[in-house]
Amino acid sequence: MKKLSVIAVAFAMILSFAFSAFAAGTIYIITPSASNPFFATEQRVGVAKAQELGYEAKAFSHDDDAAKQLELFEAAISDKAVAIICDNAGADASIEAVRKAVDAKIPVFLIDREINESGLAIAQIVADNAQGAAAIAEKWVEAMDYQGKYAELLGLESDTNCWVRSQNYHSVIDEYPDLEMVAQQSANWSQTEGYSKTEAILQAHPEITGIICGNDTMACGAAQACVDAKRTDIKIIGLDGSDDAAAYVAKGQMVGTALQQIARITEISIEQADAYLKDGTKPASEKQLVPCIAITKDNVANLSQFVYTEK
Amino acid sequence: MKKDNNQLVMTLLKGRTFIVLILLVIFFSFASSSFLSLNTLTMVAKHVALYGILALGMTFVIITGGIDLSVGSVVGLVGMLAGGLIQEGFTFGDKTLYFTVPAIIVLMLCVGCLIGWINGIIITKLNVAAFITTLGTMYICRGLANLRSNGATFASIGGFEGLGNVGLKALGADWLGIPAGVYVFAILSFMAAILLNKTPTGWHFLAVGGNEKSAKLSGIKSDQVKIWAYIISGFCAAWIGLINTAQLSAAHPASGDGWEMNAIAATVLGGTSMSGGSGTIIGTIVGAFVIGVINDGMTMCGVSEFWQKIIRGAVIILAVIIDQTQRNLQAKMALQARNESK
Amino acid sequence: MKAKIIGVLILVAIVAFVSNQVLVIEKGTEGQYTGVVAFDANASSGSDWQHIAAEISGNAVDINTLDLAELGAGKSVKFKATVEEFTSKANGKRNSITIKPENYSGNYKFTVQLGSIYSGTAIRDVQTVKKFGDFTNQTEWSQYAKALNNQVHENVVAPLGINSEVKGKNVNITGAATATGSEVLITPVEMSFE
Repeated sequence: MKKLSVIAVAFAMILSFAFSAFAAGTIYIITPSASNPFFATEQRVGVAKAQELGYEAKAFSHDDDAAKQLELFEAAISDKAVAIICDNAGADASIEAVRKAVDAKIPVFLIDREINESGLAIAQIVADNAQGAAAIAEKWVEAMDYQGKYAELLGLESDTNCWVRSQNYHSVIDEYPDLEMVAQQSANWSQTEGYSKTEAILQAHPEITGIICGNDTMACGAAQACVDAKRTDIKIIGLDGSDDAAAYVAKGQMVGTALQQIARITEISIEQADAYLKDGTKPASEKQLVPCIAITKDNVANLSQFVYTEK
Repeated sequence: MKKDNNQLVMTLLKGRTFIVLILLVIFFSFASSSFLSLNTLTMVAKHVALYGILALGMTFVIITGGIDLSVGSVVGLVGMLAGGLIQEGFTFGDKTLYFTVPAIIVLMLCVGCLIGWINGIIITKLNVAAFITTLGTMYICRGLANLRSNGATFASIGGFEGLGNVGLKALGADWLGIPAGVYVFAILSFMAAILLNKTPTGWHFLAVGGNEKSAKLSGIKSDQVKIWAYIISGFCAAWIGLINTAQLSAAHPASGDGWEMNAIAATVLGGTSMSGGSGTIIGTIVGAFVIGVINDGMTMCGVSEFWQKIIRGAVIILAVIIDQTQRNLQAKMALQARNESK
Repeated sequence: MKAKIIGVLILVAIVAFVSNQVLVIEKGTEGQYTGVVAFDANASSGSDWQHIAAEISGNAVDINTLDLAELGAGKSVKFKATVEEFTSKANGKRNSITIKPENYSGNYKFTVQLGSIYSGTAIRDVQTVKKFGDFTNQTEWSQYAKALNNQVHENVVAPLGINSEVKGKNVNITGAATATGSEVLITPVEMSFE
C-alpha cells in the first residue's frame, strides 16, 4: 500500500513535468539571488511576464558565483531553453557563459548589469548605475551643504557594480575638497553588516555627518544604526530603490536612493525576447541604458515595488 | 535465512550510493525529456569534475581524520594568481616577468601544495584542530585573492602571443568532445585510487585515521602522513583554480566560495567516514556524481533553488544515517558470526 | 634522508623548468608586445568636442517652441535671455546663473550651470557622435560624460571669466537642457554676453 502511494506520487510528479512542456518553450531567468528583494523582483516579474506571453519560465540564482552561473547556462542549453534572461555574475567572468549559449543558438538577454563584450547577447538592458550613483550623490552633496566628514559602505568588493557605484559617487563627491572621507568599509551588500559596520564607524568617527552606501540593504542597516544611536543628523544615501529604503526616506532617516527600474527592465527584456523568438526582430541597439531615478523625500511617494509612477 | 537476508541488505547498503545514482538518472530521464542525452551527461560530468577533484583531495584528508575547509578559497586564490601572472605578469624592480602557461600551471600547483603543507604543519606540529586551522587559511586565502586585484576580475586570461603566454583556455575547452576538466578528473582519480589502494602509503592514510596510536606504534610517521593528505588536497584545489579560471575565461576573486562544502558532501556521500579510517576513491567519485546529477537534474526540471537546497541537505543527512545503519549491521553480523563459530 | 634528496631534486627541476619558461621585459612596456591601448576618456572627448559642439548647435531649437514637460533626459536648445542672479556655492566650484528667456512667460525656472563642477550627463545624452555601444561598459560611458563636461568648462565657460557682474546682462546661449519638475538645467556649448 505504502509502495503504491510512493509510485503514485512519483507518477504525478512526472506527469506535472510533462504537462508543463507543452508551452511555447522554456525561458530561463537567472539572477544573483532570490533572497534579495531587488533580484526577487526580477524573478517575479520575469516569470509572470513570460507566462503571460505563453512561455514556461524557470527562475534560478547564481549567487554571484560565475562558475555556478556557467553551470546554469549549460543546464539551460541541455534543457533546450528558447531564451535566457540573465542578471550576470560579473562583467568579465560572465562572457564565457553567454558565449556558450550563443554558440548553442540560444538568444541571451542581459538585464540590470552589462558584460564587457558586445555582439554576443541580443540585448543588454542595463540599469545606468553610473548615472544613478552620480544623481543621488549630487542630492547628498547638497544635503551635506558641500562639507563635512563621511564614511562609505562598499558592497561585495569582487562585484563589478560595487566599484561602478563607488567610483561614480566619488566622481561627484571628490570634486569638493571640504568633503572628507574618514572611513571606507565593505559591508558585502548585507543589512546586518551595514548595521554593525555603521555602529563601529560611529564609535571610531563620531564626527561624521554622512554615510554613502553602495546599495539599499546596507543603507537600511546604516540608517537603523543611526536611528538607534540617536544620530539623526547623519545624511545617508543608498542605491536600488527598494521599498525598505523608501520607508526610511519618507521618514527623513535617509536622504535618498536611486531607483533602478528593474521591473521595467525585466519586462522589456521579456518583450524583446518574445519579439526575437516570434520573427527574429532585434532591438535597435544591443546596449540599452535605462536611467535611474533619484528618489528623495519629494518624490518617494511615487515609488512602490521598484516601479515609479508619476502621480 | 535471517543471515542471508542480512547479507543481501549489506550488499545493497554497500552499493547504495551507486544504486541511488542509477535511480536518480532514471528519475530525471523521465522528469526532463532532454536529460538522458550525450550532451547533458557530458555537461554533468564537467560540473562533477569541479567538485569531484576537490573531493578526491578531501577524501585523503577526511580518511586521516581531518577536514580541509580552505579548498574553496585556494580555488579562488590560485585563479587570481594565475590570472594576474598572465594579465599583469610579475613585476620585480623595473622588470616584468611573463611566464608561459606550462610554467604558470607548475607554479600554481606548487602554490596549492604549499598552502596544503602550511595547513598540515600547523595542524600536526602546532597541534591546532584541523577545523580551526583550515577555517583560518580559508579566510586568509580569500582575503589574498581579493587583495591581488582589489576585488577586480582578471579578464585577459587568454594571454598574448607577443608575451608568449597563450594557452590556459585549453584547460576549459573540449578535447574530442569531452571537457578538459573531465580528463583531469579521470587522471587524478586513477592516481588517487592507485595511491590509496595499491601502495603502502595508501594503507598509512587509513591506519592513521583508524587508530593513530597503534599506527604510530607500528612505525608510521603519522604527522608526515597527515601533512601529505593536506598537500594532496591543496594540489587538487589548485587544479580546480586553474580549470575554473580557464572555463570562465576570467579570474574572479569570489570563485570557489563555499565549494569546500560540496567536496565534503561528495566525500561523505561516497561513504568516507567523518571520523576517519575508512573511505574509497570510487565511493567519492560516485558521491560527486550523485550531487552533480541532483543539481543539474533539479535545475533542468525547474525545481526552485530553495527546494534544491532542502533536498541536497536531506540527501546528505540520509546518506550518513544509512552509513550508520550499515556500520551497526556490520557490527551485528560480526557478532553473529563469532557466536556461531563458538 | 633519501626523501629529502628527492625533494630537493624535484624543487631544482621545477625552478629550472620555470626559469626556462619566462619572458622578461622592461616594466610598463607591455603595449609593445600586446598592442593593447588603455581607454582614456579625455583623449576621446578632446577629439570629439568640435563635432559634438557643432552637432548641438546645429540641432538646437528655440526654447519657446518646445513643450518643456517633454524635455526629459535632454534636448539641444538655443535662446536669448536676461541674467537674473549669479550664485556661487562650494567655494566657487558650483557656479550658476538663473536666467529669464526672452519672450518666455511660463512657470519654469531656468538655470545655467557654470562649473567648475557640472551635474548630469546632458551633453553626452544629446549628442550622437558617440554612443553607449562604442564603449566597453557604463563606467567608460560615464567617464566620457564627465570628460565632455570638462570640455564645456575649458572651451566655453572658463574663457568668459563669469562673475556676479553679469547680473542684468543679456546672454545668448546654445546648449543641452534637461528638466526635473519645474526646473530646467542648461549645460552650455556656446555662450556670449552682450
